[in-house]
Amino acid sequence: MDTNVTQKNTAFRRIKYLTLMQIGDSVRDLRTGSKAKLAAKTSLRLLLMVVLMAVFIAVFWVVKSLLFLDLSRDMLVTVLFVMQVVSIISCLSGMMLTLFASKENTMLLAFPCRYSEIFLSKIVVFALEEIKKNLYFLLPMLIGFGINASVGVAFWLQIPLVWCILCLLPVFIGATLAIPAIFIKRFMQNHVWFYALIMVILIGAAFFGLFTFLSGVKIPIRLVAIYGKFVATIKQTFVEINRFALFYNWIGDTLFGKAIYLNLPLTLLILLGFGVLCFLAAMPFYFKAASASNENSTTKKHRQSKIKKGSLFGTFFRKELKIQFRTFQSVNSMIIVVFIFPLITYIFNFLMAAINTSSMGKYMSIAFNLMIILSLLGTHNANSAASISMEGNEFAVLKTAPSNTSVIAWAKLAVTGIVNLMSLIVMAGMLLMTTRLSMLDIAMLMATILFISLGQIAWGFEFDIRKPKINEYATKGDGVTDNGNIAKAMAISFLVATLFGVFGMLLMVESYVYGWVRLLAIAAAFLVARVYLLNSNLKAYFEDIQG
Amino acid sequence: MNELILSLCCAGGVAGTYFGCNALKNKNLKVLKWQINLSDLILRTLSVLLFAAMIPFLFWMNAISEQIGLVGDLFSPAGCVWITILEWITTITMAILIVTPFFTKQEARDYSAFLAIPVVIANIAAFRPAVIANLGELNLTHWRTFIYAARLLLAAMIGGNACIKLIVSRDFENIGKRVGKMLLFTLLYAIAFMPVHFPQMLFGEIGETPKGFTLTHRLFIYPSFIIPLAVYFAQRNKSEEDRHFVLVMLALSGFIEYFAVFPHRSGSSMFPLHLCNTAMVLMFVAYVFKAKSIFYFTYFINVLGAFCAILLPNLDAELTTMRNVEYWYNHWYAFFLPLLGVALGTFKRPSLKLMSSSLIVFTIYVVFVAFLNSYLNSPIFEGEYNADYFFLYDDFFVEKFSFTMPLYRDHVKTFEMFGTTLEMRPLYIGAIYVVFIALTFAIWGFYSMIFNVSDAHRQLAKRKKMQRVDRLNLLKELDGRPLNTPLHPEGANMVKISHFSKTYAGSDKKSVDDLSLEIHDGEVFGFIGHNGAGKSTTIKSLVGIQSITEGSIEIEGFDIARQPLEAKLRMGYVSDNHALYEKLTGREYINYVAELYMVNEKDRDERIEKYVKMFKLEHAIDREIKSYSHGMKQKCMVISALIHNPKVWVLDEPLTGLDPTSSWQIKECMRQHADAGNIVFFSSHVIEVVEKICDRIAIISGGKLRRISTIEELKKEGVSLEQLYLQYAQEHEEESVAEVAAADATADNNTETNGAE
Repeated sequence: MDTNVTQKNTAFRRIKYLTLMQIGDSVRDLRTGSKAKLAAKTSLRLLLMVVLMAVFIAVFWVVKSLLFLDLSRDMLVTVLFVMQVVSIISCLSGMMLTLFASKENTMLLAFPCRYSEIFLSKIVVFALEEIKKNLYFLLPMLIGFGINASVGVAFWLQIPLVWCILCLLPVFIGATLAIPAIFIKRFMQNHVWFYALIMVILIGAAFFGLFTFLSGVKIPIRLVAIYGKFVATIKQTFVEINRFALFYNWIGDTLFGKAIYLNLPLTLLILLGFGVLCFLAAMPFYFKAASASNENSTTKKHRQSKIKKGSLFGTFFRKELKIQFRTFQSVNSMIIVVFIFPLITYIFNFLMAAINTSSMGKYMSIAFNLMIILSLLGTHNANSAASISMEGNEFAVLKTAPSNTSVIAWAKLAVTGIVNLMSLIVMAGMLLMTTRLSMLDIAMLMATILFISLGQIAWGFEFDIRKPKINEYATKGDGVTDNGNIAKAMAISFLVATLFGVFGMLLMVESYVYGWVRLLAIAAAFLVARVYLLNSNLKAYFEDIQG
Repeated sequence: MNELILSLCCAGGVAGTYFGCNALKNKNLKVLKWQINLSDLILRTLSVLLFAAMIPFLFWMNAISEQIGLVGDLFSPAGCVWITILEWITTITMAILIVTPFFTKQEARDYSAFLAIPVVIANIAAFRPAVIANLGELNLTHWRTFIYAARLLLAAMIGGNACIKLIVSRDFENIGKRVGKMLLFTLLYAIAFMPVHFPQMLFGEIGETPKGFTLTHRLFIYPSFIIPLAVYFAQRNKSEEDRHFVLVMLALSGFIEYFAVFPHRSGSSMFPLHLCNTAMVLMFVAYVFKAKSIFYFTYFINVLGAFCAILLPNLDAELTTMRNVEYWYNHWYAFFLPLLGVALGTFKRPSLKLMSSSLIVFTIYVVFVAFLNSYLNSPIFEGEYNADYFFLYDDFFVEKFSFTMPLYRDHVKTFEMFGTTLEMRPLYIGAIYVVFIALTFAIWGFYSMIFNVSDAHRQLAKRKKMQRVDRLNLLKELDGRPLNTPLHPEGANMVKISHFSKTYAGSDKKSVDDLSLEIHDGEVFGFIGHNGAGKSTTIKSLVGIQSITEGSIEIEGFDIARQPLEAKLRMGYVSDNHALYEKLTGREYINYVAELYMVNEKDRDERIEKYVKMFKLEHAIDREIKSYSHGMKQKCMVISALIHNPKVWVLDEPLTGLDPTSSWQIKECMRQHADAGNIVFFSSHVIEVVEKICDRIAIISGGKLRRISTIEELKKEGVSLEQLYLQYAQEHEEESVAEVAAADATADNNTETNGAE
């Protein structure tokens, strides 16, 4: 052991170096990076903040001046509460990944540091990320609100402190909840079917609740006539929600200058309380939860199925299905697509149907359904832009196999297409319940959407084939967060959804019957074109993809 | 009589031109730094004169253009049609003759040679009716009659010269095809040069201006896209000169079509100051003189304006009127001509700097027309002009976007200038300007997207072509043998690596340099080297995971690059990172691989049972791979690599991280496989293992093969493998240090030299 140690090995010092190590990239840029680049980056970030501030100012102006909703303390508390709930969920999810599933844990846990110190360093790193993120969201929102609400000086003076509190609260709450959540998640991951069943039951219950609630809404909704009452209802809703907002009411009060000397210290105390809770309740379980991530023992045996020799497509298709149904994230994704997306469609169509529409209403219903359903499916289908890359190291099997392994792309497309189809079948049911569209109309709409979404999937595959990221996925696995291909595929999906929505509307207006025929023909042509291009790209470039 | 004189003049002109050009064809004139051939100079001068002679016919009223619905005093209905058709063909011919002296392409010469003389003869024969069609009366002494005659003379001179040259040179190869092609293109140019009064003359003033995205309006929108696409696909593979020729012809037709309506304009519409009207002049100049800055102005600014005009026509005229026909020609050209110029490569894809220059010119234009509108609409002109250039003065945009009404109505500024009171709406104008600039940037993004798509398609087509060529070459080399026979049958029973080199993308250093070796049946061949020596690179290229930069690799006579499927069918590969699908069980994974290698069920089952027993995986084979230890994963990989009983078994550091039992099992497997007459090729760091089981070894260091030897040879030399390995590793280290030192010295010398300079 090295005895020539001059510095004191304190806990603070260890936490400091653990933190610096985890944020190494940023620190290096600050210390040794080009000053000019740093200045340019900072300027861009400031510009982004200003733009976002302008956006929020505009949004709250619209709310106040066009929607005639007062920018009151109740509204602020509700907004903060909802934002914080979303933040807590996001932090919870992020914390589970950072604290327990991060690949660097294998290294960190082996360092000569206490587990509590590692835990604290991770909290600090996460908190810094949250603060950075909220510079572009929470802070501009508060400023936008303040400008439009003509608030007092107390509001402006307290923004920095309140902003810090609101950044740190979700981090502490997330960290605390992450411990039980990770155990629940692990259980679900090992019992995927059980998880799927629970989710379906919960979604069913949510749907039933929603159905009951919406059935109570008087239709047709005459928005203009009832707007005054609508505004009053909204205000009352804020008050009702704020009953559950707990200490966020204190934050609202303190921002509006009410009993600052009581509310602010109480809020700080809450923050401290959560911090202590996080440290005392979560930290002791940290090592058990973190180390369990690296243990993969499973005693579950899979039944050996009869081997059926079939086509290459069948081989890949069966493999894909098996992996999809055994992977927690895939099952989760399928549940969202097959059950939650239709739920969203149900709400949207209910509201549209409840508004007394003119003859254009039917066309708008079709157009908006096209746009929204395609956009929703597009967020899922965009993952096809990483389908081949996600093979990662396993891509070597495809490269060395003596077969036309580009067929795997079609197998993956088929699997994603089937999920889309299942979702569309459920959505068709929702449309039957909520719209005045006939069964034929709905069938045509679903067929159109299916063609287009298959085309979107094929397009995403093309991006992956032309710019594969095999090595990134081989090294980082699911930790790849900056795949430009997925972002591009998502942008294209939204564009395609918008274009088809607009075209659909125009075609319907011109001639309803021929409009359907032409829309379906255009969608089919889109699919054929994309499949043809995918096929060409596979033939031209798949062989050249290097592992 | 006049016709006779004209004919004689034309004949004389033809002869004079031919002999003059012939005499001067080898003489050049030096002007500044240019050498100009005198013969070409004569023809080009005649061409410019011909262009000048066309101008009066654009700027002065053509009497035939006032015939509506074949009703009029000048001719019978049939006569109107025939004289207009003659005028049509004459315009096309004149345009071709103006352009062709500036091009050397054969088709250009053919146009001149075949078209000109027949058209001139037809015009001479119909001289008097043509004069009546032009002037409205038979006035053979009018100056425009003389100009018309001059046109015919100039056309005869240019065309006749080409015709005689063709006859004299006896260049009649494929004459039928050339004439056919010329007629076809003339028909296509006919669409571009249609007289704008033709529909009105034939059908009268009928129909409505297409607007509002009705079916008729859409039928007028579609050609904006269909025509340029058709031209693009027809021309994209032609030479640069051919493409430029077509574009110049289209630009000229745009110029002619626009000014053909000029005599019918009045007021402010006389001046081509509307953005798209300006485009007709600018594009002509840009294409003829290849003027970049003018071209890119039209590219960025006019295209957008034209597209808006196509979508939102501001015209109120019947469908068949001259005004309507000219409107659509104007805006189609303004829309697609600049795009074609870039798409066909006549002008390069613009940079942001060029766009910035265009925006500056646009800003000047906006300020200029804003003042001009105010001036022309001021009280001193008493409403004579009603100018509304670029819609900055009137309420055109307000009608379309009613929310801009407050901006238009409530912010009017009046001031005294140029001796009159000017009225202007600076905020309204500013808003239009800002929106247009924003749209220009959006267009820039759209163009970039289109270019990316176009590049991708071009690359794809190129790649497919290369693959077709490769396949044809392969078939040729196989010389009638089926594709599943080895390219080099003499290479059966071996793995042959010939002069293999690999350079990774982005690097200028070879990872493997000129490696050659052969491995024969029954051998266990060890491949050893330090970290980063090139072992894995060689293996990955051998099994087809990575490409080969130079050289070739053959498996049993099958080239891995050219017959990959056949070569891979004969190989099994165990990678260094046990890449397995962790969600599958071991058995599922092995079955999956077996299906890829088309192993029949009976063999598959037998081999799985055999190897599972051998590697003692019975308890784990039906569990998910993610629960396996490192050794179990490696064994699973080994089984999957042997499931098809490959001729060549390749392993990349297979013993890393394995316990002694697992290591022994795999080594035994390797030895048995080789003893069965197969090839085992593996890389390893473990010298003792290599010494024990290998028949031959190769040492690679720094990407270069250093030594191939049998173990016996080494023993005879009294050299241990470990010593040899360390020796080469040391040599490589010394070489690397020397390289770095040399590189530093070169860098220092360069710095000193630059400093001294």
